[in-house]
Amino acid sequence: MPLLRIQDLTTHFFMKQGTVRALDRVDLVLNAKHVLGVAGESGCGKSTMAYSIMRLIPPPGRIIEGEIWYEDRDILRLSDERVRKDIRWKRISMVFQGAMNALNPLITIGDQIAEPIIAHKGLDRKKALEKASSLLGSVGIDPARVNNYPFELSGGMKQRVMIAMAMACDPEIIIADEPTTALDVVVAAGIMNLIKDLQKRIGLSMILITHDLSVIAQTCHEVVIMYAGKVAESGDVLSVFENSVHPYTKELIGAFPSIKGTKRELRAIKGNPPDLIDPPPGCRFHPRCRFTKEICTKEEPEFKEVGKGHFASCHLL
Amino acid sequence: MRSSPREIILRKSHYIKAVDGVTFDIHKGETLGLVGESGSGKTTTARLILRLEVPSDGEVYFRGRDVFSIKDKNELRELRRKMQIIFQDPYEYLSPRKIVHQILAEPLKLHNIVREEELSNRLEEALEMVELTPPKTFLSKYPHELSGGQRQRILVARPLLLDPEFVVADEPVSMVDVSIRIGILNLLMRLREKYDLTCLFITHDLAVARYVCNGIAVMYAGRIVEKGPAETVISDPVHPYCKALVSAVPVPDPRDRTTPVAIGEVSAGTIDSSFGCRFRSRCLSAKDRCQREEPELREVGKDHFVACHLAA
Repeated sequence: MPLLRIQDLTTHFFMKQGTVRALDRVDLVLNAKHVLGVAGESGCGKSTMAYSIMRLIPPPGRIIEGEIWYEDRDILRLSDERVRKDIRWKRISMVFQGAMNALNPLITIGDQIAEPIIAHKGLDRKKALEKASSLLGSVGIDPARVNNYPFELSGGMKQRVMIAMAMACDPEIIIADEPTTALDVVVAAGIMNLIKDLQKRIGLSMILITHDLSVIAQTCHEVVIMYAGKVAESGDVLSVFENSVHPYTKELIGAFPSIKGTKRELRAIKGNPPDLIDPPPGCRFHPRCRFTKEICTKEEPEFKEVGKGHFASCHLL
Repeated sequence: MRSSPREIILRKSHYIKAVDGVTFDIHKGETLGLVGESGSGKTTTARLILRLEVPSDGEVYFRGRDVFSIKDKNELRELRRKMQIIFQDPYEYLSPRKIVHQILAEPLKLHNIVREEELSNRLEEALEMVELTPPKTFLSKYPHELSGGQRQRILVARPLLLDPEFVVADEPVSMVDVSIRIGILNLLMRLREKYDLTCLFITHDLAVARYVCNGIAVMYAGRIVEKGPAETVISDPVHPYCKALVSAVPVPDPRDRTTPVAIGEVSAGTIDSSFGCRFRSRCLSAKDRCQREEPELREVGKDHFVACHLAA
């Protein structure tokens, strides 16, 4: 059942060198109590999308088109104040990329988790710290560590603190931006387990942003593959992984070596990620695609349904 | 070649052994993967092998000669030419104030390998070798004018210009976009074959290690805890840390969802004292003997060694 519905989301950054078309008419659906993966390489627009949902796009960026439907309201049409009071952190919150390294070194983790609770829920410091303690327990950290400072924690534990912070006001949706990047493999697996566990226990709905398709394969129900600011393919993980239709999806999946299965030579995706100020005309992937036809160089393909809940934008369909 | 321990003195008599009793051989033409978390000692090991660090104990033998016993300057320079390194960070290891031509020419000039007239040809060949074509356009560019993948290819070309025999590749694709990684890995494997290179491939990514390496040595807290043929270590890990590591690697297959083997979390700020197995505070199977005695590497299968009291 759709919880969050994004339609035609378009966010551009108006820079001196030109306009960066970071997101162009992106459609996306997050189902209740599911984990939606958003995959793509650097520059594909996945973080921009997260910031757009949170209404945190800084100038010179601006959301210029689109609708984000949540609880019968288009949150793009709400005032900044309404978003701050009702939505941000209370209903939808976020674990920012690399945030674990941005924890304030001079303030205890308890107080840092308590801060949004005090600000948004109006509890006093004592009650907020109690809640912070219990949140630490939910993310697998000994609640007694509520008075620890960030330097006393390992990288994995700091990331858990960031998740606790995102959960502080009991949101319905959490967006996690590259939650396992920069963590060692074993620690990253622990975080992935935590995400799956929280999602089952508390019924959280999550958007998980990552460049790592393996993480998506292991944790997500649905996936959106982004390329150059547009959605190349989306659907449930099994369909997208096993019945991929977009050439980029197929090549991307094929570019991940695995520790299992027969060892075979993998094929590189030719070319480089595109310039978003001056993206290629027609289909943005066409310069790197093995199946490019003339129409691909002229016309942008439509985002079409190719199976139940399975969409892709490619002229070859 | 054999590697060795190194002790860094922190304060008074408190030591951290960044690399402790590390021993392995790499045969000509082979690629050994050195796998471990950050802080496990893999980069320090590589730097010791290349004589970029001085060990407190132990030897590194290259072609039967202990590299630390070489005193003659010319001999040392020749050694350095033969033992090269591909760095990890395509943003930090290229001088932003030099164009590609100068960056690539520098090592050739230092080693006096090429005559001035031949220089440009040699450089263009090198760029073709790493698939940066047409080479003339790249020679006049500054690093900031190149993409991450292109810069990484320059990092590959530079050491190979010296025609080395042994190359250390230190996480050569971890800072490069996913779609570019396989291209660089395939390139490395082609060049390895073409120039008959012997390699030490450092990575935290077991899947990449499997793709590229013949053998894998897993390091934990400065020691090798398991080593053997790549397929063996990955399909049949014995050391509890390796079991956890292998089970923690996510597989790009939604039908194969596994739960990682649990191990204890690292407690920050503690350094295990020198007795006993370094992994004991995180090991769920630790026994008394593990607290008192450091395990040695012992053979558990063909060419497969594990340092654990519970193995064998």
